[in-house]
Amino acid sequence: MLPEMTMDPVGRKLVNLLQEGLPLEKDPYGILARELGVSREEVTERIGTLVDGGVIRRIGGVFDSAAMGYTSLLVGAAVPGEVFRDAAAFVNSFGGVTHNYRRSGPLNMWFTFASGDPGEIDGLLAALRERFGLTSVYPFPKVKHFKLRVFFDMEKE
Amino acid sequence: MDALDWMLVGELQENLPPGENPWQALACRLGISEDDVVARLKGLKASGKLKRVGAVLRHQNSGFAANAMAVFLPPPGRTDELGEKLAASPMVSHCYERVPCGEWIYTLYAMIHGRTEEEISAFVSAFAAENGVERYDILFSREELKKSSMVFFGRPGNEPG
Repeated sequence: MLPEMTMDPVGRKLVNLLQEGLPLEKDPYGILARELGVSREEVTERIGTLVDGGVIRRIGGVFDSAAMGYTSLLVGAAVPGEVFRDAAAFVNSFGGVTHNYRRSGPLNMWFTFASGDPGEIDGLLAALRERFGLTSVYPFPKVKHFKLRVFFDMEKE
Repeated sequence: MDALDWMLVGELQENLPPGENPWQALACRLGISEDDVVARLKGLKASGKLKRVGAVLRHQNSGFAANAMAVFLPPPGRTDELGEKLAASPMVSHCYERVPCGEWIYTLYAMIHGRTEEEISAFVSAFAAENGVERYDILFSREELKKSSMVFFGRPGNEPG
């Protein structure tokens, strides 16, 4: 059963509040507790359960990489099955690679890469082509962003 | 940003310390006051570097079991209009215009989350039909190969191997 099905209304609201971000004021959990009508102890206990239960991946800072001086890029590549695992391990070994997915379709590996050094991306793409004999490795820089927000509304329905 | 700001960023890349007062716990680690931690958090937020201190969900476990990247080739001159429309949907978490490359003609990208792949397909095909988009594709996530948070702060073990 999915955790959201077992979550009570307070739990759902708490997950929504945590996604919006903690108040950047003293006693953040006390402020959330008052909003939820529960004790601070209950808030911290529930957070622990959400983390242990795997609903929450991480509670921490979410940064704007461009504001931090980093450039980021989406890369799509056509990677044959016989070298897929090795190519994925190589790509994932770069700290600037934050997301990597195997997807359906002819370009079957998609990863994001961010770096403070623009030359690093060219090095990665060249190495990926050479080491694994790939021909289709395409960088897709963004022109404009319309939306950049991951929020899953737990109170819907 | 001074050295303490960078140290605070380094701490915030990890999980918040457990306990009832995370700012005090960070203050203790950095050797500064809780008031200073709160002031620095507000400063990082005001400068746009820090978007928030909050929860990132493991969405596969939260009932949003399916996700896909949908790509579109909008009719000429309509990228902004269609990008704004996609962005307004609660099923869309990210939406970008990107430069095309090679045989890949698509320029408008949207990350779409749903409870099933059918729900996503129905949303995308309806969106394309309603907006006169003839060329589009849906790339379902088959496997998460890596998902981590950006490391802005050099740490051992994060360098390319």
